[in-house]
Amino acid sequence: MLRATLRNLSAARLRLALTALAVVLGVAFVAGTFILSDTTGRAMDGEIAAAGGGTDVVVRGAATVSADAREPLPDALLATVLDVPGVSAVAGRATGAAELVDPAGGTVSGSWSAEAWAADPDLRPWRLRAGRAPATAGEIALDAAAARRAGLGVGDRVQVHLDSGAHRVTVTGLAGHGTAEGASGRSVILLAAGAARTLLHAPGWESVAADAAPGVDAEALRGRVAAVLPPGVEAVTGAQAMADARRDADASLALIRNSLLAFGLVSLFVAAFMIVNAFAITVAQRVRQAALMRALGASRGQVTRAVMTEALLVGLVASALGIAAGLAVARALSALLASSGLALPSDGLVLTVPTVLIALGIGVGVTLAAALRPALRAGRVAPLAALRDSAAPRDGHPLRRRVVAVALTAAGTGLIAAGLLADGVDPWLALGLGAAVLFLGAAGLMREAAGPLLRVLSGRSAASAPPPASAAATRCATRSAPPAPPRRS
Amino acid sequence: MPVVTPAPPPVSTIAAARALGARKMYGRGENAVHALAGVDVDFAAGEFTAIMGPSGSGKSTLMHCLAGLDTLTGGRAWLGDVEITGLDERRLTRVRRDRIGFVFQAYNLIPTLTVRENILLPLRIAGRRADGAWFDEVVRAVGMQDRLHHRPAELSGGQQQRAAAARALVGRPEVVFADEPTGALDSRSGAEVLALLRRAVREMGQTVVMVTHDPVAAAHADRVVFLADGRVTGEMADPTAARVLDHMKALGGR
Repeated sequence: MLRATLRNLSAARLRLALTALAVVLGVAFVAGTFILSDTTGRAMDGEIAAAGGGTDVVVRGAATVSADAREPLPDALLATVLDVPGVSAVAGRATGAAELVDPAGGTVSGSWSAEAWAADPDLRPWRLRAGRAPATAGEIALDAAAARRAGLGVGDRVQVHLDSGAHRVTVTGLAGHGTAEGASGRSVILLAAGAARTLLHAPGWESVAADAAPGVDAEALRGRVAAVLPPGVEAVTGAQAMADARRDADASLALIRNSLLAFGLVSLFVAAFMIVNAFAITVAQRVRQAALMRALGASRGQVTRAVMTEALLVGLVASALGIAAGLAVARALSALLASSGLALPSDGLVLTVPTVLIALGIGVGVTLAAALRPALRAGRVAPLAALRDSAAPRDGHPLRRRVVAVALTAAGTGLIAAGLLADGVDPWLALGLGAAVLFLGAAGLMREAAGPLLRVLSGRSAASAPPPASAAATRCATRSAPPAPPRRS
Repeated sequence: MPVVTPAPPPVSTIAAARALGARKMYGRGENAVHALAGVDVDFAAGEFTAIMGPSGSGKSTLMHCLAGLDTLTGGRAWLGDVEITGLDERRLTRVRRDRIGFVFQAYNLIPTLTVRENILLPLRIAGRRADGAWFDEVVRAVGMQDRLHHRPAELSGGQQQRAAAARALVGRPEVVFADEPTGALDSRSGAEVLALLRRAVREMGQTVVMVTHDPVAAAHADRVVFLADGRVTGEMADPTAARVLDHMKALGGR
């Protein structure tokens, strides 16, 4: 039975390839999403560790004013924290939007941002690779990787556009991010600590990082720092601040991941319909074969299992290919996000065991679930059908089915249009719903088109009146039988 | 002149297949059609029996009901010592699997399997291992030893039907049912297949029941049972084509 299954698979390569392609695409999207979010997550962890690893205590506004911002802190607080016994250095943190214009006057592409250069090396991830740190408002250091991409070096004069306006500055140094050449997925302009707040047009510091003197415990220092802070300002350990940053990163990552996953699930939904269609056609084509198996003594279960085995093999191979394609999808998605300003790291994709298991499980599961109904139908074929030139059982009302398919296609298209164009509609909901409805309709239309299409694919003229799908399928089925039509006595 | 005797009552010795008062009705009420209107017939073990009759005589229906492919609406049917009347689908499937071989008009080989795999298919379905010596003997008997690795599409119709005959014989079934086995063949290939069935009966002790409308095919049998309008109208031992034809003409003239 298994051999017959394998032969059947290799005999129907085109249909198999189309079916498998649907599963491959769906699994690729799901796997790609997980790969991308795992990869990004790892890179973010690395960034957070590099940025906060040397910081012992972080002073920040106690209340968050928006998703990723807290109440700004005044300059005076820097001195207050530095006066606490056991604090060896402090640095105010400030970041802002930036653009860079090269000496020739062209905007340097990249996802640019600007931040303050902390004097104390423990309080910044940046390590000078060339030149010196920026000391005045007219000087900047550049992310070394970004500078290389932009073709800039120490001594170049450039124009930076910050929230405070445009400034002509000199590049005095190039800095790596930790051990990396630059920050992952973004390009950074580093501003002199004393001028940063003015240049960034920031109302205050986002936070103040403190470095403990040698031998001073971070938690003990946090307590001493907390004691001198005004109301509404809190002190947390560096470890706590990193954990918070990771949590925020995970949350924003989950948001991206879930919207990508929605695409993946929609494509699997489509795949399911293609599989249902493909196996329904397969079963219709092989009614005589299934009937023969039954006549020769195969149980309903054996015939059903043969079809399900076929589905299992298709699902396994397609899912494996889908995971491989998922790596490409992850790369493509990260490029897409980068071009829209949401830069993500592109080096060293992370493929975890859970990702592989989830992708395999979803791909195989969807394939099996979609094949179940056709498989059960194959098992119910009467053994007498092997002796008769009977047509495959037809179901439903063809006209009503076509009307429903056209209506669903139109409704889905309308919903997608509404999601894209109309105001006051949740675009994601409309797009998701529209896609689902459209694919239901398209699957129905495909089913109607399958008969004529099959005849075209099998090299026959479609010039004659198109027969209903089941008649075409029967014709295909009889093609595998000898030419003489069986006569009934 | 044809020697036609009336159908005998069922004998008490165990027949390979037997129908008693077999009825098959399609439709209901006024539209009811009696495909079988009370058939009593025995098919002796080790014999080659042909069932003949004009179109609509019920000969195919009789075969389907005896072979567990269809069920009677009245009367009883046995296969060897097993009564198959009233068996559920699962048990009927097992009866077909373990006790019956089929030869179809349209050969019904699976195009993606080789001849060898097609011949072994019933055993594979049953989860049984092939007896190597017996397999070789059957394959030699049908003359397919050089074609075992061919696909059905690479064979002539006659070769395909001989492969199908080997498939029916390899499981040593109690009865081989052949449904118009020569209907799709030219006369020479048809004669080869009939000779093959003949030899299976004589040399292997196989029981063969064949439905045919061809007097020449029927002449290869030990005995011919005639059906008309769902009833047995007579039978003929040691038939010749001419006598069968005459009898058929007589039937048709009624």
